[in-house]
Amino acid sequence: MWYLHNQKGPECDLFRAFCEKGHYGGRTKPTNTRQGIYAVAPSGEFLASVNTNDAKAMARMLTKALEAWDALPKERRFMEKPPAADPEGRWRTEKWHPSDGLVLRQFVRDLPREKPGADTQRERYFTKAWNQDFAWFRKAEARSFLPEKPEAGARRDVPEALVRRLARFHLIDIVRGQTSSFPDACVEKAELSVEVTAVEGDVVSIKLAGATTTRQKMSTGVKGYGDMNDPKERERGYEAKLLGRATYDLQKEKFVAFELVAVGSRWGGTLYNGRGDDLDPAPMGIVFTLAGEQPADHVAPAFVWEYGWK
Amino acid sequence: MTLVLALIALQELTEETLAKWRDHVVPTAEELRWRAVPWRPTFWDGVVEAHKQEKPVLLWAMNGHPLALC
Repeated sequence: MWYLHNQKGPECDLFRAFCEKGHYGGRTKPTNTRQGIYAVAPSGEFLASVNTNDAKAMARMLTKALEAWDALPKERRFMEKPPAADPEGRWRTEKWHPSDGLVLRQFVRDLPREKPGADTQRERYFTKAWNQDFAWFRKAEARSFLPEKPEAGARRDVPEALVRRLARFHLIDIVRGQTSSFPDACVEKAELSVEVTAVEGDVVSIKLAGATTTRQKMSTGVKGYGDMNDPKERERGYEAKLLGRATYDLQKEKFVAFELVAVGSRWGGTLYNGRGDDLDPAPMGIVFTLAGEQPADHVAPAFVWEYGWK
Repeated sequence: MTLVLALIALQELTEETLAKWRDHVVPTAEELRWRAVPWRPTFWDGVVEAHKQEKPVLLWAMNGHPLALC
């Protein structure tokens, strides 16, 4: 969203041309966000929009949008020339997608607690809440998960830089909303070791085991608009054990199966991750699995800008 | 001590409990139903395809990214 609203290039110019005609047009307080669901013609002609998670409201918007589309003269529906797939001036981190490396889907959810919260709609919602992201590793980085000579029983430590990438950008509390990454100095522990359990032809099976701890003291609000102008000194962190298994095909030079689970205790919160009333230590789980091949699996990780890639 | 050990055991990650915690965290098919829509990773990808198919574009824009962290 921030990219479309604030950056340069034809994609962002097109968005800005119609977003002010939508549901948040002209708004600056409490923020200038333009997030929502928009229906537009390929030319950029605005049809309808809404910001909702209600199915009926969404259906009404779609009906309105299709009516506007039907009423729109054909000459206003499309650009003068078909848009180029990769126009000049457009740059996206999706271009870094490591199709020959390791692309993981990440899911995050709270784990059951000893003392469940109150039986309210809000608590029931947060008990089930989950979020997602992707984690990327380039081809050589993926190969470095394995020992140089992958024989049964061989072991190695995954390069610390890659484990710190997980700790800083992916082993974070995004269950209820967005949060910031951890600075490198906040990584107290980042260990992940691999043992080859079997080799059958070109296929190498491994198990992964490790642990991470991140801890950060910072001045922050924890209730979004509620205390964004009243930050306090707080601490947040995540202490987790990691366990998993994966399969690497030496002939294809890539992982063909991957599953890594993190279980541990998170504490604290940041401005927009919904922990304002839930700051005490509590269990959280994170799972990494191989992403699929759909276009929707090609989205860049939230903190890929901080990977140090070029 | 017994209560502390019980709490630790509650979320212990072992070879025996790995599948249980994985299945708890990974969304169910019902929770992922919205992925049945053939979303494109970027707005421009949708614009290019909509132009080819002569259809309008549906854009879902959120702080973060609806297909990733939001």
